[in-house]
Amino acid sequence: MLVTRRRALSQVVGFLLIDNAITATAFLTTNGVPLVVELGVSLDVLLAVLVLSVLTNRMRAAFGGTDLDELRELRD
Amino acid sequence: MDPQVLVLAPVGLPALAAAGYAAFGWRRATAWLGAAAAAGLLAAAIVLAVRTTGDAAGVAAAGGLLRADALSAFMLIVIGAVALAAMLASPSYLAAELAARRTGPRATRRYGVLTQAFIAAMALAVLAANLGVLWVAVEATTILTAFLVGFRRTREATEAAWKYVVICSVGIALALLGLVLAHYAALHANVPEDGALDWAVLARHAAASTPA
Repeated sequence: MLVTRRRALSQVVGFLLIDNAITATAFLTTNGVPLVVELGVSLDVLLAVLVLSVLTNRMRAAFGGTDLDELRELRD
Repeated sequence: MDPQVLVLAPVGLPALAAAGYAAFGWRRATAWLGAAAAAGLLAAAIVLAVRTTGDAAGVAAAGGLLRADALSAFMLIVIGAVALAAMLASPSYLAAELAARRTGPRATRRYGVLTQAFIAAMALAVLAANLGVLWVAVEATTILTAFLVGFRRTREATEAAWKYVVICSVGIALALLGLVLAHYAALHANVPEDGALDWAVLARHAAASTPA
């Protein structure tokens, strides 16, 4: 989902999949990370997704769509 | 000076300055507030460096959540110097942007809040005693700078902000996997549950952890 780089939304879904998988690993290996850390991680992931959704709206305003193929001005 | 204050100041001063910008916005009277907070951070870092050099125990504060040793004092000096330079340049940069009508009062207020919150998060990252708090602070720096990268809202700025957030967030998410595995390894090395992510406790039990 992340590396196909087709749509903005699919990259956000890919990011959330990675985070879910890591949290699942935490609960499988131990009883999960300490509560303070767990809350901080959840808050950060929530904020990251909110930031990405705001950027998606800006992208729609600037490029007229959320097709990531349009993002080709910055490259090596 | 009380060492607790020295450890709290690098996080607290920029956080207060961020609150100040949130309340009063970016105007003539508050333009140098950020530079003052960065200068305070740098001063606290230098005093902290003098205190912690050659002292392996370091200084703990905030009920064991924060801890400063010689390495964190060095990193704080770097952060303070860069932050001071950036905040000294900011008033003239924003004045030029406002004069060219490329930005407005809402955007400059957000600039003030985000730069100060970013500095506070970086200071928290190097002062955190706990690996989990460190991770949260590092991820917070990425989130806070996203709208600073895309400050101008042009095509290039939006593209750069998107790529920056996606690449950094995924990289830091992989670091979270490393954190989870380190936690697992620490519990297997019989590190007590409440200290399993604490730098100092982990260092004491380093010999017992695999593959030692």
